[in-house]
Amino acid sequence: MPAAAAARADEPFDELALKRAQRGDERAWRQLIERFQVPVHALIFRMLAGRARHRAEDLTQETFVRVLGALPRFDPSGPAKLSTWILTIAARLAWNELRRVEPAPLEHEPLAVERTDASAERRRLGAAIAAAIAALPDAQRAVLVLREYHDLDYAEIADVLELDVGTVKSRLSRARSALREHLLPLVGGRDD
Amino acid sequence: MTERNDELNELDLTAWEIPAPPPDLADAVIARMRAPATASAVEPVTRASRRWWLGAALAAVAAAAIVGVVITRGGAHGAPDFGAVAAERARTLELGAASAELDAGAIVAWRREGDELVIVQPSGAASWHVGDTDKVRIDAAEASIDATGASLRVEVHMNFADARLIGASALTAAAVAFATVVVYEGRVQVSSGGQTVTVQPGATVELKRNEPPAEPLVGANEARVRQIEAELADVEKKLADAERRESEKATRPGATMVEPPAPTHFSLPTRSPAKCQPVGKYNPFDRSCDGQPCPVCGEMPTELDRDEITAAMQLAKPDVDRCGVDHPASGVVKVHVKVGGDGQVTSVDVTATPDAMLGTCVANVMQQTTFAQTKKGGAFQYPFVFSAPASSDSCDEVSCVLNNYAGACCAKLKKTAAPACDAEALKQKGLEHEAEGEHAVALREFEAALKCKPDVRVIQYAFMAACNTGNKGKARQYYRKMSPDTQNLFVQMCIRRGITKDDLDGGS
Repeated sequence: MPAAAAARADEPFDELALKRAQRGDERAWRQLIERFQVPVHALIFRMLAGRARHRAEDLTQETFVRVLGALPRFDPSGPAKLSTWILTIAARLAWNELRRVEPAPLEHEPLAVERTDASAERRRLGAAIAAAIAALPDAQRAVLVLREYHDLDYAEIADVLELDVGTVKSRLSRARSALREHLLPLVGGRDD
Repeated sequence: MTERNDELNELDLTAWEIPAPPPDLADAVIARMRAPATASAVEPVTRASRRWWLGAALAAVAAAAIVGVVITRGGAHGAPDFGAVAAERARTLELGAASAELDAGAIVAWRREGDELVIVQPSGAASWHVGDTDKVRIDAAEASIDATGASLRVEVHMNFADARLIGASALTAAAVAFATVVVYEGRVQVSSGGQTVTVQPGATVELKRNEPPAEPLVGANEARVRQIEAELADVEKKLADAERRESEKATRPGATMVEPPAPTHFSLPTRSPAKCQPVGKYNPFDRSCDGQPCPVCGEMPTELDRDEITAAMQLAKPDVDRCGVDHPASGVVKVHVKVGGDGQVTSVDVTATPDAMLGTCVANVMQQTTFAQTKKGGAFQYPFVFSAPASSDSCDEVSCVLNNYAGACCAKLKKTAAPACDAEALKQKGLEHEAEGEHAVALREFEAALKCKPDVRVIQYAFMAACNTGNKGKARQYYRKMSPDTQNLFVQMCIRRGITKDDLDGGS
């Protein structure tokens, strides 16, 4: 995630705005949605591995409906930050979706070996990463996305996916190994 | 945070780019959140009648006895294009071109007519916010209020025991005793009794049935304009003083922030006063156009200019102030900022700082600052000067806490300070009371939080609560603890409650 975007996502939501949102103030609701819509959509899109884009949008909307519905019960002085709490809800919805449907395989192009300009290189890398992550089993991909892209710690991931922390660690380890193996041509190419 | 896989870190995983979320997400979510109330309360209005607003308002009033009611018919653009609200309790209303904070008891009906949003407010009070490019007409009793790019409050006074009169005839529905219009910003035109007046920011006008507005207020605001200009001159003088102090490179321990000097620029063109204004920043009532509507520039400006940078930096100033409090140090923090064409900051480099944490804090504030949109963006360098507070024989507990009990006066207080308390809990209680409109209780909680722990934000909350309770003394007390820029941002909170800037400045 770019540093600037990360900074904004981590920025505490204004406390008074949160209070107002908890009371049902529409302006504060809008403020909350606009603050968190990018990370929430990104998390769901990644967990679904880019398949069924419209479904990712539906789940993003569903996440915020549930967030706003449960917001009056959210305790800002509790153990979870607001951002983590929202991402947790999004992750659970995405995880339920993954368990419910069998997504169609994602087609992707084989990795090109020739080098091009930086922009094309980055696009190629992005496509390779997307394909590699999409190829992971759902359970491994979910752990990897929550850890690598959204900075949830082991305990938070275990809570979201209803797993033991040990299982989270082992799945993350396997996901990383598989990802590295899949992306070896790119990693190796850089070492030349 | 736990350990990372070094091999994976070799890869830039962000290269997998994610599409943006749908642009109408917030509208869709809010519509879903509001949908159950709409469905269960009243059947949707399907056809507008000639007295469209009366029918909608009547239905809303009738159903308001049961619950706060919303009757809407959605438009293709997302915001409802026809509807009515009877607010049983305070609530926010989003209408696309305008939004309102309705007081409890307010009744509002609206309808789009071409590019104009026509609103009827037969009773109750509402604070309206109208976009820069939107046209809104508010019919309040027999008065008509036209607003563009404005914030205003409209209070329509009505004997609710006679609400049944609305059912008697359409004409009697408009026979409300009078309305009061308070303009916070933008320019607003009010028509009543066959006369139209322009009401400028800070002014209030009372509207009575069959009578022209109580007094023309345009001229009365000339004095206010002169006062603001004098204040600006004073601020410029302070900026020059700060720049001089920077050159002296005086450093003293226990620092707080002083006014920043004017920015230095890299190849930034300056434009003449707005004889034309760029798209997106168009203000047809800008005083620089000699009272005439300013023309719109043909295209977006190429680069950021000095005025646009200064305006954005003024908005960032309160957060920079907080950096000075959170990371006290003396000296100059210089940042080099690059801004993209979309107005977002693309990079911030701290080129000088007396303290790493202070520099990082200022850089974070800059990273989140938004500038005007231009074709190419721009880059500039901006110095923030932090220095020690002036010594004083007199002190109070809050100031001492903020300055970490520096100085002899505060040292005496420190012996009796530091009670066992939970500032965060007290602040949260205050916020809860403030959100519920219990301003006096909120003020007490904020004051308790301040005595417990220094927090610039809590000072602002305390000022807000003091304004809302109409407590001039307390408002003045906390007003003095804010930086001039923060004062300028917050002063409207008191003005709208009848506490003037003179009240706040008084006795200083």
